[in-house]
Amino acid sequence: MKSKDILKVVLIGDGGVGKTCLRNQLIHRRFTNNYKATIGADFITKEVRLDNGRKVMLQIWDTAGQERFASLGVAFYRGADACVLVYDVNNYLTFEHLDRWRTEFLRQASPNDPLEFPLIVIGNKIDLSSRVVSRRQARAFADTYSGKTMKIKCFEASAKEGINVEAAFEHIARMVTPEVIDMNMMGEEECVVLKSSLELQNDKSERKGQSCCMGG
Amino acid sequence: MPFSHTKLLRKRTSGISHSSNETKETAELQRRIHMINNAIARKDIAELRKLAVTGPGLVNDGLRRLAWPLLLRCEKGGEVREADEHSDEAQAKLDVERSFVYLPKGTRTTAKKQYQRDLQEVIACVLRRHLDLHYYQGFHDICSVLLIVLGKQLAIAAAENIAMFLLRDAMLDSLEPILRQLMLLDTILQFEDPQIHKFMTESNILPYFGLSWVITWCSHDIKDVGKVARLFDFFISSNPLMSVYLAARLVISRRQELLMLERDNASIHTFLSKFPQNIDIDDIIAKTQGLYNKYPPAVLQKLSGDPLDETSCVNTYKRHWSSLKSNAPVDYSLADLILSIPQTRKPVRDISEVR
Repeated sequence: MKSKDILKVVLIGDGGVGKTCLRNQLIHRRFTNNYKATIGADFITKEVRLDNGRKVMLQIWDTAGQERFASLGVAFYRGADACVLVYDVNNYLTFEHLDRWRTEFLRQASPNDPLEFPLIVIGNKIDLSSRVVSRRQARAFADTYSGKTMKIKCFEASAKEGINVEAAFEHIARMVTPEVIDMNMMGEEECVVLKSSLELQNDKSERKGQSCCMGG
Repeated sequence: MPFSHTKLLRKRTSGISHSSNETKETAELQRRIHMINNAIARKDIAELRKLAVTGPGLVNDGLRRLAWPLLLRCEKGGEVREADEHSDEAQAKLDVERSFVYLPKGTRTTAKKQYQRDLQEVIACVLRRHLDLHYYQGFHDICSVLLIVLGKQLAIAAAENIAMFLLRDAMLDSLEPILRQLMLLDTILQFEDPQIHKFMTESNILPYFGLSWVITWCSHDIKDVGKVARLFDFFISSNPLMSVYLAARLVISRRQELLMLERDNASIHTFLSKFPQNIDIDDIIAKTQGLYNKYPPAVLQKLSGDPLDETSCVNTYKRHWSSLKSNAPVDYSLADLILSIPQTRKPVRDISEVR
């Protein structure tokens, strides 16, 4: 089999909002208080199964939350297929900063069509009872920055309780793999070759080419 | 297995003995301990530096508690003073809440909480003393190690001097100066291991995989506290660029595995950014020192064609820090001045004075 094609997803947002925990919950289905601040960035891949049984490989990049590390974005954001903006529903500043994170991301990742670049918003830590950011506020942010076809969906999640984490990443996977372009048979397995919306626009081929997902 | 005296002496240190002749090794270690004690008694900083960068370094935390304050010029310790809050304390707090992850199993929660309170104080004190310092995620890791080995009072003064003279390039108004240090990793590889350099260049790898090693002296990445302390012996006794040489050496030490990887930027970055936990620290330190001697900072900067600023702590190390006489008070005025001016990009004037 050819090397599996992978969709690159970048998690960004202020320090301490739970980017690492969200990823850990998705990958390992568990939460621990014993985690440390992220310095630099790294990725873990995760296979996500969509409603129709299709499987998509997500390469999920976790990044440092302190603003001064955002200058490394040139290296870590390039080639991204989607971006997850994370804030803490109990901390208004982290929500207010999403705007800045989004702008900086788009500047450094420089996709061809920034307004249509796949984004989602996750408000984390809904298990705590000190919420200060309402769903309406998050929705308003998302509406402001949604494009013509790219609609930003807002999720409220708890990495601790495992609420809505998978749903959010499944949504991302669906967002970047909307069209089935071609069908191939590879051995006994069915291989669906997909193109992400971004790649359809950009026809960028050097890194990933198409997204190939093993079905069945 | 019979009880090993050598192991007892090196309790809480890292190195693994490969010597078949343990008696000889024990005798050597005894001799080293004797020399360290003598150097401490004489306040012989030059001798302590030599011991810190060779063999098993300063051997154990008992000796470190006496030697580090001499090496870091902080014998008097620092006190907690009332002062205006620094704007980065909130970020530090977020990181402190996630600190001391690698404490030995069985450490009580209350002890961990106390460490965290002390850590917040250490960081706040340093920042409040020099309001132009910028905190970065990872400085808290450095301070945790100081706190464990030295206790709060000494850790405050030690952290202050590390911030001002050894890691200042990470604490200016942007990370750019420390990133420029990190870029020199590329030059080291270019001259030391062209094959790896070619592989990395073709795979479009930037040296950012080594960032946390450089800004936390590996304390963010190594789980074994003994190994971290051994590395700190080395770094507090060396030019600030030493951590970049170490990063280069770590890449070279894994060259076989590295060269077998697919040329995929993301996987290579992630492979390289994982610190090899089982590495023999004494051995890697010796090899790193070798690299440093082969391409000292002045030579390396010249080779790179893109020298660091003259205000880089790499280039002020000798003038502002390592040449200080043992009884001379630490003078912060020039470091404070450098912190207060926006970053300029003046290359070093006289490259010969760097070492």
